[in-house]
Amino acid sequence: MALPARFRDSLALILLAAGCGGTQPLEWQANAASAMQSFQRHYLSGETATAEAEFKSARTELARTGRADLVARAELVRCAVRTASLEFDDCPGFEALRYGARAEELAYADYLAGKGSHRGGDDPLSRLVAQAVSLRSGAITPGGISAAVDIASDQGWRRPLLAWLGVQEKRAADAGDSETAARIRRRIDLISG
Amino acid sequence: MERDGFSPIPKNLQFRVGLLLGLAIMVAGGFILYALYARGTFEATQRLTLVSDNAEGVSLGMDLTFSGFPIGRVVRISLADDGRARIELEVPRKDARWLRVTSIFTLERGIVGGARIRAFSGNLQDPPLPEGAERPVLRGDTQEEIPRMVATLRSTLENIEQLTGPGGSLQASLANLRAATERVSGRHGALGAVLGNDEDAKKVVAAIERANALLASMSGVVAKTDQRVLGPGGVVEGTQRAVDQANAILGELRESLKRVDKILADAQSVAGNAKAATQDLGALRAEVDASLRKVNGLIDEVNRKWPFQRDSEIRLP
Amino acid sequence: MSALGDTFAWFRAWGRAALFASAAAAAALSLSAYTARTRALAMREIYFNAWHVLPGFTLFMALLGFVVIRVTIGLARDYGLAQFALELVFRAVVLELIPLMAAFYVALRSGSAMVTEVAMMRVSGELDELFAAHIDPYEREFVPRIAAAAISVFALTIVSCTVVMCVAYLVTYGANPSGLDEFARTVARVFGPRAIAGFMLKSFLFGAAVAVIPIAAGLDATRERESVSDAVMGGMVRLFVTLALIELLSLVAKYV
Repeated sequence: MALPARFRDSLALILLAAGCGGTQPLEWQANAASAMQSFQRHYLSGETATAEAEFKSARTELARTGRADLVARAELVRCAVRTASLEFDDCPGFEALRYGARAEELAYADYLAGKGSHRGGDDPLSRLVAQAVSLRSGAITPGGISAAVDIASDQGWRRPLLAWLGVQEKRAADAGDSETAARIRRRIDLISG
Repeated sequence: MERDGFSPIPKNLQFRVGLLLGLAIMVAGGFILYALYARGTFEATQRLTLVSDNAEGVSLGMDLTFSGFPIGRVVRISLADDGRARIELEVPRKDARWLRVTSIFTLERGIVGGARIRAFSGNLQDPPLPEGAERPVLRGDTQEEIPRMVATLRSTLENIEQLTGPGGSLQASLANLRAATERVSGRHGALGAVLGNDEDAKKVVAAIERANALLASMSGVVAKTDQRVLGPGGVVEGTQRAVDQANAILGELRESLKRVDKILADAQSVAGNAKAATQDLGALRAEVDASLRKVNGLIDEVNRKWPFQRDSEIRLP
Repeated sequence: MSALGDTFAWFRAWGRAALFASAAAAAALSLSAYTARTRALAMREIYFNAWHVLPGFTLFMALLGFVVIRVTIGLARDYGLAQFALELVFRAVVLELIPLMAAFYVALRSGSAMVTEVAMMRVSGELDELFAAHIDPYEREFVPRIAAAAISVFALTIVSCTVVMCVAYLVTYGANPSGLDEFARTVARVFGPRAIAGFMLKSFLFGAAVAVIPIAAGLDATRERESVSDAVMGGMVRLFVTLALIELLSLVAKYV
């Protein structure tokens, strides 16, 4: 369930390792890889503007090559990160590049949409994405919600933490447990300053 | 009875004789006056006493010279109560301005001739020498140096005699040198001379022969080593290749460092932009709320499936 | 025998000269020697001995001095002893040579004349007449002559010495006054009070000797005419010896 991680790593590996092994790593590869990682970091931490800027620069670098599959993968990573933050959409960026995507990417896009299955890694983002996908598909459990909250809290990822806490708050409020809801709201207030 | 008339007596004889007498007396008087003037009887003088332990060579009327010009005269030489000689000089006042309180007086006596009294004034701005001043005079007597010189010369000659004499060190050194040269001309030559006896010399020779054999065997080893190290496929070549590889790696590293630099630069520029953004957490929350609203339906589904239970769901961190 | 006799005679003559000198000195000290007549006689003697000869003598001395000084200073400069040249000139020429020369000159000129004169007085019996008339010839004749001789010698000496000193300055330093200081210094060194006094005394002694010895020699004459020449000869010899002795004595007194 850690395709984003695999994607991320494989993207990085493709970018970097393809160049290594006798020849120099290419400039666009290095730039794009670092920008993608920065994007993820900033986006999950809640620094949206920075993240968007980084993503834009990564996309530009990858677009230099004219390889649509690479750009599509980048869009998928973005989509996954957004999914982890419970921002569900249909990945318009990826859709625009569906023509160039390969099978792997297409399968992953389906997975993100809640339709396919994917075996990801054990890294936090992969697990978070997995929980989000399960929420989208309606297969989530309360334990899963708590786990997601814990993951986001451990990583200090504001955006998904706020989102998942919001889910818990709504659940509490819907169940009539105003006290818990207030507690959760206080937590949310703490995070958002 | 008078005798007159041998020769006619001129009328003005008296006048002429008187004239002659007058001339003679005047000349004599002038001469005496000039001599007195020359001796400085009419000059104001001041007295200067020089004290010395030995006034040999000093005579009355001797000059005191300053920068080669005589400015004073010895008028009296006497022996003081403490056994030292007192030389009294008279210095005309017009010349006394060359003498100061700090002036130094010397009495020199060369090998030939009499003594010379000289005055030296280092600083002419010092106060002038007072009347009746008493000063010590520095003596330099070459004639005294001669006996000393002779004595030194004599002792030097005696030393040389001792050195070169029958029991002297020079003879001993020569004897040693002779023995050494004999050994040098012996069987083992200079080696025997250095070591002193023949056995040591033989040992040294044997050692040298062994060393020679060792060198001969080593030369084969050296040839092989040469091959191993320097030949094709040898150590040196391998090292060269490794060095080339290391150079390549270094080059790659340099490039990646350049990239890191670029990343850092980008991060800085981004951070500049992001500083404003990070603080906008209210906006973040608003965004999250907005996205959550879209997810409300999904949450309701979860609610249906899984009723909310406080204790199991909300885990205190 | 005659040699011994001659020697004795010689000694006796000296003895008589010494006696006469003391007698003359005694007479000179008595006031009665100084009368108008004696003064006139003295003046005449001075006139003949000194006045006539002064210019010539001085000139001759100047010339002699010039030559001697030139030679001395030239030699001294060659030996690097130039600073001692002037002093040497003073001591040798001025102090010794000129008085001696003056004395010799006067002696030559008037000594023999005086011997002859006095000898003639003896021969002509003038002296006996004077003795008979109780007129002291010492006072009347001899002392004036002695005084005149002394004064003449002195005058000649002093004038010549001064002239020679001027010549010495001119020879050493030329006509510029820049050497006056050094000249005065040399003069001062040479002509101390003792030197000047000795110089005066020597001149006086020379002068006295120039008259005393001849007159004594003249008195040695007898009434015979032939004794005059003997007297003259003896007198001149003794005069020169005396002068030499005086010079020797003065040198001894100065430098020994």
